[in-house]
Amino acid sequence: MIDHLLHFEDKAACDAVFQPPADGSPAWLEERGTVMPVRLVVADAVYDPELDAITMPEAIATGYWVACRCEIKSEVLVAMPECLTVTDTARAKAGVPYVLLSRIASDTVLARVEPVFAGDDYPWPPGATGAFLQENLIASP
Amino acid sequence: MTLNASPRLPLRLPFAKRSGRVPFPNPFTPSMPLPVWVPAGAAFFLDGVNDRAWVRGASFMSLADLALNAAYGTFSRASTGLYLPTSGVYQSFTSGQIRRGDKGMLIEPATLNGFKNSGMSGYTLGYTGSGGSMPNMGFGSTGATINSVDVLANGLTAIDFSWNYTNSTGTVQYPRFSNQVADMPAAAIGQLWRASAYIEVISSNFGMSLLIQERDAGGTYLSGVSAGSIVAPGFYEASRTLQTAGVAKTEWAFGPAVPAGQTLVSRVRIAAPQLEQNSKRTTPIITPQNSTATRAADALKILPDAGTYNITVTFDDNSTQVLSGQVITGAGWTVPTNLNRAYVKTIAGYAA
Repeated sequence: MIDHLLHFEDKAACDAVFQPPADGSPAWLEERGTVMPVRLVVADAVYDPELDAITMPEAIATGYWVACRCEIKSEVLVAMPECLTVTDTARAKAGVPYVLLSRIASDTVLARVEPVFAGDDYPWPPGATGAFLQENLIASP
Repeated sequence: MTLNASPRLPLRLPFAKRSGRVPFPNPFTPSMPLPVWVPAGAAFFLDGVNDRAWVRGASFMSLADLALNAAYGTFSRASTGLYLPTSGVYQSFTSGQIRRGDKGMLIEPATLNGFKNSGMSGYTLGYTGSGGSMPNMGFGSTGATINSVDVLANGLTAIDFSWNYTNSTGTVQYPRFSNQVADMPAAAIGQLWRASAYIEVISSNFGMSLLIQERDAGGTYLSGVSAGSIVAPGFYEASRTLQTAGVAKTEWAFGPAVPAGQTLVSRVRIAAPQLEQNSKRTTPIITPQNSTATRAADALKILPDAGTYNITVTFDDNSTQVLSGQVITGAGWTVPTNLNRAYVKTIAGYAA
């Protein structure tokens, strides 16, 4: 499967492109693929059991993010400036270069994408930067 | 001499088993007798138990073959999914694979499991107060000893822990195994949440319950406990509509009430904890360490002739549900994900 990660300014901007169902479903199928709103977790919340309280809230990347999963790379999605990465889950699992597109600067620290599609963890390690994606680009034929 | 004056017969019988991906439309017109396995009068028929389908006069010797012929049907699920056959051992299906077995096809809505690390990875054995740990889960202030992580007979991975605690506080205490406060999913008042898990209380001198609890944005326990029940041997389930002002997080919690001065001695095994927002419990979604996970919907679409149909769905318990007056256009009909039951033996459509 091919994952396209897209970043919008806000939910309204995203909803103008993808139409979420009214039932609040966590993912939905449309012509372009299966769409799932995600969060990019920059830093996890910190909980102090002695205080029974969260002492540092979770830090989330700004804007509104969605993952759109397709059978093949979608040129329609790739043509959108909101599309920041395109990755091949099967290649990632096989441990071979799996990045089809990255528009993330090499010094940008990659946040953790959550939730994931069941069965696939997101294919970059904690603390990796955009350079990691560049290093894992699939070589052009 | 004319060797074959009559119309040519098909090279293969329409109901012969085949293994390739080549479409195999039935050469006969729909006015011809239906295959013996299709109910009389049916306009289309899906057989999840025997893995075959009949759509617009074409026979398909598997549902996968049907889904490979876009003129007749399609299937999509953009994630893996589990299936529980009558053997009781979960089977895993890859993305895009129809979940099917001896209970029929499994049709479920997209569902998020908000309990991180339900696959029990990244653990360290030992007492949690001195090195033992299970990421994304906790035992509160009482601690516990993680004995092992094992695969159960049903194929799911379980944490096995010993829980021994003496209550010297002077008031009843409620030790809890739960998702870590920092990892609890965001929630809001009025939402219906459902908790579930395979739980084996190997030994305990106090009764234990599965609960859903409510916390505020700062992680502080608010109130409100809905005690769950054992819905099948070893399977616990609880549901709760969140009702406390200020609720911002949902907690999956399991444990006993220990009276003042008493000592809890117990050993418990838990697999596939799940915390989902659904009107019905769905099959386990195995989440990775530090993340929640979504199982995409099972979207099985068929394209019978446009028209209005009465559709009879037969489930794994042989109960039925009739969907009357279904108007199907050229865009086709997708099997609903909110049927009475998720395991579907057959679907038969009759012209209304």
